[in-house]
Amino acid sequence: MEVGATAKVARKTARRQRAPRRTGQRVQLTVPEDMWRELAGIARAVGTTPNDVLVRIASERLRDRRRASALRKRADERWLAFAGTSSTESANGGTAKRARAKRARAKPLSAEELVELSRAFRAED
Amino acid sequence: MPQAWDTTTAARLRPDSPELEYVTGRWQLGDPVAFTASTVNEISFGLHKARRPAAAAQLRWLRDQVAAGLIDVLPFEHRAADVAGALRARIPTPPAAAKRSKRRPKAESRVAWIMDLQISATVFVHGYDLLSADAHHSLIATTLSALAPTAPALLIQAPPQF
Repeated sequence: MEVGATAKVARKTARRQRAPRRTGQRVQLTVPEDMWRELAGIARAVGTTPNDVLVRIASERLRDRRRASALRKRADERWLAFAGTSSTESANGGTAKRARAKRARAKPLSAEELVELSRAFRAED
Repeated sequence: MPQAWDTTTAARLRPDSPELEYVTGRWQLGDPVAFTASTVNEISFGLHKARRPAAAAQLRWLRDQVAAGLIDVLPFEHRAADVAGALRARIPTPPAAAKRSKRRPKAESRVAWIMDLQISATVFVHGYDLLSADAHHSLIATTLSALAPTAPALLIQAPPQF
């Protein structure tokens, strides 16, 4: 190889970005062209490789999913616990069976009573 | 777990502050701080009422941070409203310690208490912990535990020392 060509290859090698070394599965992917162009653009801007950008984006997305999933789980547990146990009846009402029977016998509230109860929010002190 | 800030803590967030540094750090880690819609309501009210250019600038800045995703805003939706109603039925008025100022009119104390109940209820149903230095939020959390004994408790954390 000519000296000039060798120098050119050397410069090219020096310029090539390398992703940080990772351990794990080596996989072959088919990435859509437009996605790859976008990844390559980000990689150029931050000085790394498209592969590295792809792994970083996947990693961030997985972290967000884990967070959202933990939040949803705790939110659901709290709501189900509240909705399952919260009652407008007194806690001294006896067993759940008796409470159910009491509810079944209860006469529905009239519209006037319901309006009055909703007004209690503003009147309460 | 992800944390939501109460109004007193959230109101301190401003440009070039240690609070902003903290919030930005959490955002970078993928765990943004949240405010409740009720807190945004309180902050917005105060800044609008001030009628000063600096207050208007702070409100614009805060809106930008929310729009950029630096802060999540938790809505006061049907579950939060239900829980807040149950809380108020249990503890209709603020405890004596929560009536912070003797100069505060009774009606104002009542509004503040309703907002506190809404904030705790919102944070509870969205699965967050609450960052607050106010002692009465612990009372609300205890009442929540009585209302939903098997639920993961609402944890009240003290704000970091900035």
